[in-house]
Amino acid sequence: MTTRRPRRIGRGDAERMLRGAPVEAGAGPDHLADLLAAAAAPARDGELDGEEAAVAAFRVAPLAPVTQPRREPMSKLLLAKLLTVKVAATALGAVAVGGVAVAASTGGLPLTGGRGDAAVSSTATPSVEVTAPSLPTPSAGAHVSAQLFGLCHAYTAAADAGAALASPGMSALVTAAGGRDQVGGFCAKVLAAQAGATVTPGLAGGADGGTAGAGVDASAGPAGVGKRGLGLGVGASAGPGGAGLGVGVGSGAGVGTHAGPTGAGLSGQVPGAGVAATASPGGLGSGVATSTASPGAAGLSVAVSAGASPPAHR
Amino acid sequence: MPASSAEELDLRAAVVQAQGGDELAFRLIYRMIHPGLLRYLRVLVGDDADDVASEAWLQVTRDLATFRGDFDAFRGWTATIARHRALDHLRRRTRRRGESMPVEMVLTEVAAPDDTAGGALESISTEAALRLIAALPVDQAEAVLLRVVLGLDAKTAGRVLGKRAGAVRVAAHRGLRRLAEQLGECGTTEAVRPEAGEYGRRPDPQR
Repeated sequence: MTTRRPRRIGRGDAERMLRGAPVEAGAGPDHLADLLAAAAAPARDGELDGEEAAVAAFRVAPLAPVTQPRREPMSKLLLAKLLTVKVAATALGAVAVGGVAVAASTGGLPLTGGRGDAAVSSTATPSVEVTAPSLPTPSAGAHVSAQLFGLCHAYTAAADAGAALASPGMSALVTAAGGRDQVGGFCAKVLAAQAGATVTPGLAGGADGGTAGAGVDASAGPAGVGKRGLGLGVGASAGPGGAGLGVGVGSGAGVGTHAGPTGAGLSGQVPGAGVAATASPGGLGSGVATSTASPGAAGLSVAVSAGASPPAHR
Repeated sequence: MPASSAEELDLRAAVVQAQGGDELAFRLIYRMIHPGLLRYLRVLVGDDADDVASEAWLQVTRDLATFRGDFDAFRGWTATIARHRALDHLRRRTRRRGESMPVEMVLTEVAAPDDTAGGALESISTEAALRLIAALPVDQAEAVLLRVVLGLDAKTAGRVLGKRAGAVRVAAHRGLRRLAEQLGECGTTEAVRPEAGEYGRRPDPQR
């Protein structure tokens, strides 16, 4: 039993008690030490009830900046694999995506949709340009392409082809085909090309069959998206046994996808920043990378970074 | 609740991992910090401690990525956030009541002591201990809680309170003496009531 009249606590004792260190026997009042220990006792029932709510908030909270690796060990493992695959994938992708990839990496998408000439660079089949009605048309060329596309549909669907061509609305098609008798063949070509084309709303689309497999490229000029000179490109290319899909925004940000030999990947290429993900054979990686595009780097510089390693690529 | 250096290293790593999105690391941190934080808040805002703690954790998770420092600094950082949320809460509540009571008085009122000291001799429950601490002048109560319950050193506690380390040390020491005095007197049920005795001469506890 300790004395009821506590000794006055010295500074040293007080400091020790505040640190939670045991106080020398008799140096301080036991009850006070007990009290402090009780106040600092381990969590009791109910004191951790808020954990799930806090964790839920944690899950949606922003992560540390990309310089803080999110899952470092995994990203390191993947990186080596990815770098190998990346080269193959981008090489394949470069063939199929052609001008788009090059443009993206040189820092300014050539706004292929707008010009209507570069959407598909390495293709033997006629390219088909389609512009979504909701967006401003980059140029008359793309617009006509879209129109022709529809007109060809109308033409082939018409019961009486001859009468259909007589309508004033068809004049553009007749002109493009080079004469009434050419329309049939022209539309057959156009519609055949459509089979390989994926038309993304709001984007100009081009289709081609590359040697690397099947590929679809789509790109829109600056006028196509927004009105601030922002270019947007979508490119997809398939490697042997794989498939890919990519989106690239010119001069601002870009995302591109290339398929490796047996996997699928996504890679971003932007002068400023990009989102990149690439699949290694059997694996999948994703990350954010900042890339500086240099004109000479072309499509092969597509940024691939695993996890969140700092801008180490090209 | 001082941590050994190895533990401290682990906890520091846990903070970094949590910043990278590691949920288990975050849970570890939460379990290390929350009980003390909640007790601190209970003394500051009474029954609303759970709500205020939730607000504090919301802010902690939101700003987690921006934190830099070791685990002690992290404790201090979370305590600062919790304290700010508590003071906001008290201001809101005071305004709602249409009172112009200073925060410090509200604190004292909320944390009004009751006669828990009487049963404190045998085995002091955490609850009773907190009530006794809550009965201290608020600057002493905060200093004791930050140091003993949240495990902060004087410097970090000073940063939380916006005071110098020396001022926190003095407040904490006074708080301990006062607690010891009350415990020594706790044969009487009046033990917890502040008296105009030795401690009546104490300077104004607020700054």
